[in-house]
Order: sequence, then structure tokens, then C-alpha cells
Amino acid sequence: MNDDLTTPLSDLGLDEYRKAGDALHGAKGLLYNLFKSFSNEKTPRFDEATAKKKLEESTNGTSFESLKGRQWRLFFADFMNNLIPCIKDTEEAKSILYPWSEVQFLIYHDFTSETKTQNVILRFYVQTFLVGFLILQRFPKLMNLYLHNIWIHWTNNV
Amino acid sequence: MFEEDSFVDMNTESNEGWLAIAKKIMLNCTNRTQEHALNEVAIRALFRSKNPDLRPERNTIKNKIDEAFKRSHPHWNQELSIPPKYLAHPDVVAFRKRIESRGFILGQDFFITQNSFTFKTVPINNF
Repeated sequence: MNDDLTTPLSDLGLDEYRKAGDALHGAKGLLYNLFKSFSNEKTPRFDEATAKKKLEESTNGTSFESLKGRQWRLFFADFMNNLIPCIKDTEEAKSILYPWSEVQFLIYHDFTSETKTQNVILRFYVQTFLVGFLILQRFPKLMNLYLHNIWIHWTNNV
Repeated sequence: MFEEDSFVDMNTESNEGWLAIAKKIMLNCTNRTQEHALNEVAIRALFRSKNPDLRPERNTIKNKIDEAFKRSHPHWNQELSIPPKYLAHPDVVAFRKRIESRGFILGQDFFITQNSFTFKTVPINNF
């Protein structure tokens, strides 16, 4: 759109939309906070140097403080390569990161009425619950607007 | 004061509604936040547009994310379960009641087996 506020949305191909969960802000906010929570853990200690190296390799980012939402999603989608090497208790971390990556995939997936089956919906419900529940078991202070938005409201939109 | 997260509430609005809200916000904020608000509206419109020519960057990063996802999920229809120690947790019990009230059935000591779910019904490029 830029400065064009007069051309009809239909002429720009922007007239058809679907309402959905606020994936953009929910994901970015949660992933920023989740990364900070992992990296602030003292025992076991988080490998910050490796995380920085993985950040540059996978997203071309230079700082975790300035990542865009899509860079956060990319970094976490490849969690086995980017995050797991930085975290000592890998199995417990995987129990959070694995369901999260599926939730992220599903919330961004362009479902149709044919592909949004009951099995897909059930999978999304359970994965979303597991993500929220297991995050709070490890990081009780992470119950903020972003996690609330995902845990409670995203399931109403898939 | 306009904040980025103000758009969260716009999910409950109609398409015309969130544009109207953006205009209302812009009447009451500085030039800098007006620009931010306009950019945000444009970005959200692009993300929701079905016109691929209007979102080349989004398609590029989406492909990268999909590729990364596939690397992390070589067997991504794996069984979903919850550690037994959490089965009696009030949140787990509440979730089970809620999900079953919607007509879904969950197992006793696990939630979903891999056989109860397949992504074959989801058209994922190259999956």
C-alpha cells in the first residue's frame, strides 16, 4: 500500500481475508521470551556463544534483540540444529520445542475446509496445550500476554 | 498511545473494522507512529493476501522455515504424550475435560498415538 490510500483494496488483490489467531505477534513475543528464559538458566548453563553462531548461520541476524518475527520462527523451526546444542538437558527441552514447532507450522498453514480435518484440529489442540503446560512447568514466570494468547485463543482459530 | 500489540484486538474485528481502527489510531498519534501503524496495516494485508506477487519475501522465508521444520521433524507424526507425573495435574485434568466435551477422545496415559493422526491430509509442499 505504501502511500496509496485511494486505490480500492480489490484492485490490489487485498480484498479477501480470513480471521485467524494473531500468529505474528504471539509467536514473536513467545519465542523472544522463551529464548531469554532458556539463555538465563544458570543450571544447566546455556551456551550463548553457540547460540550466537547459530543465529548468524541460520537467519543472518546479528543480535537476538533485533530479530524480526520471521527470523524467530526460522530459528525455532530448526531447533534441533540451532537450540538443542546450546541446552544441556536436551530431552526436556525437546519436549517443549518439538510441540512448539508443530504449533507454529499449523498456525501458519493455509488450511482449507477440506484439509482442516478433525485429526488436524485435535493435533493442534493437544500440541498447543502441551506447549503451554510444559513451558509453565519449566518457566512459571512466562505466563504473559503472548503465552495466554497462544494457549487460550489460538485454538479457537484453527 | 499506539503500541504494536494494539493490533491483537483487531483479530476480533471485521476486515473493514481493523482498517477503521487503524485510521482512528492515526488521528491520535504522532507522525512516527502513524507511519508505523500504516506499515503494520500494509504488512498484515500482505500476509493475508492471496496474491503471491504481493508477498515474495514472505514466500521466501516461508520456504526456508518449511525446510527447517522438515529437518527437525523427520518423523513428525510422532506419538504425542505427556509425562505420567503430570496426569493428575489440575490443568491436564481440565484440558482433558474440555477436549472431550468437544467430542474428541484421548487415551488414558497418552493423548494421541501416531496412528490417530496423519499429515497426509495436509498439503505440504514436498512433504
